[in-house]
Amino acid sequence: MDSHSETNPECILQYAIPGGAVEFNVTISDLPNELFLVIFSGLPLPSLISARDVSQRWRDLVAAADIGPTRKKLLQLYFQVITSPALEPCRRELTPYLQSFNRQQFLHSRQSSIGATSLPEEFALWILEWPSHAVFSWLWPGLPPDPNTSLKYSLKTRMNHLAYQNCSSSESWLIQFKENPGDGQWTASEPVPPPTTNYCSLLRIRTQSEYLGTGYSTDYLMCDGWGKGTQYEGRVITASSDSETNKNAQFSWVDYLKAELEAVERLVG
Amino acid sequence: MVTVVVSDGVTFTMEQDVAFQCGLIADFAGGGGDQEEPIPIQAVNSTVMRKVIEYCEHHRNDPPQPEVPEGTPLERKDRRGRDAWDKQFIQVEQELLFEIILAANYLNIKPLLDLGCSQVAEMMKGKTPAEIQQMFNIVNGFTADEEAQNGEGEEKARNLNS
Repeated sequence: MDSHSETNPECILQYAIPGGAVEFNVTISDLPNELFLVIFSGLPLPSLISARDVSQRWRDLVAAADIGPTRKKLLQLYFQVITSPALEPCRRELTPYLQSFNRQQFLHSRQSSIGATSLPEEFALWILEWPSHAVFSWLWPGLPPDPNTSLKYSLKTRMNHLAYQNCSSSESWLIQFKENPGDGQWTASEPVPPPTTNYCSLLRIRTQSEYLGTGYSTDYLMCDGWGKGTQYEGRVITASSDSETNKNAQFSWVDYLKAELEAVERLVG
Repeated sequence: MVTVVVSDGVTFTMEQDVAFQCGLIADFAGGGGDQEEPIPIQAVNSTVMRKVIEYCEHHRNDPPQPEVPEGTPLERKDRRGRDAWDKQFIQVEQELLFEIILAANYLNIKPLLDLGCSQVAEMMKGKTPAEIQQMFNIVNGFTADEEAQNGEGEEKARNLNS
């Protein structure tokens, strides 16, 4: 340590008193609250969840930390999920199928498949940080595309369009839709062209009727769409091909998951 | 040149551009010429001050940082990205790490404070509450009832980071 006074002539160390070994008695608990808030503000969701259970002081500080609106929403959803009566039955069904996957790589491949635009933040953060033990429905990259079995609660007939496949074939889940100039309807245009003006990147995430048992209508997750004169950049929109239910379109991925949780709860209840 | 004297009486003399990365010293010296009297820094000892100066010397030519990091959490995380030197620099004993964080806070060196705090965050990554308690030697302040609830959360936390 002392040698740097020799290697850096600009910095001259002078010892007024010969410095002995300095005693350290500092622990993390000596940090003032405001520094905990700095530490917690940078924590990913799983660490925030763990930090809450370290002590009462940590719990209070996690609640007070500026973790940003997106993580805050996900953290709230997490607590809603782990206290939900639907979680245990769903976990029993899903656990045998749950596999780990490379989250960064998954996101990266999905990101590159929609070109220059970015995936909506709520969706991206959910992919990166959502704890796999809190997955409650058949919509997760770590689950196979088709359970092909008789699941009771976790939306048994759902095709898991987020299924983690070979990252190079990422287009398989992304469907391009084109807005018809006249009636404002969206029509699928396949095979997938690169996103350009008047095109919208949509992901089919489920058929609503598949678990409600009613007529046919399809929900979509829309990522960074372009419409004529309308830009949806950075938003998640779940829209329905059925114009009746378009009114119920969710503008937030977390809100969408909340609605999903409520649907599962109805099945369990 | 700026001279400071720390809690255990050790005196450090350094170039102004090194010293002025500490907001506190810059404020104290007021941007004037050479100081006659050493600036007293009672809250920091010489071991920690040596680390702080090492950091400030390495970063003396850095462009100024933006005051408030803008953007999404994902981008903010990237902005906090540490280079190899920073990573190596902050690999220290826990007590020294917390001393550095406290010193960076006291001396008002934002990038060093961020580096220290992100290192603590890094240490917590992938750990259960019990593992965090053990690592940092924290006695938890939960009641037995709360503890029972936490136990459940802890079991779940073991499945994290798939």
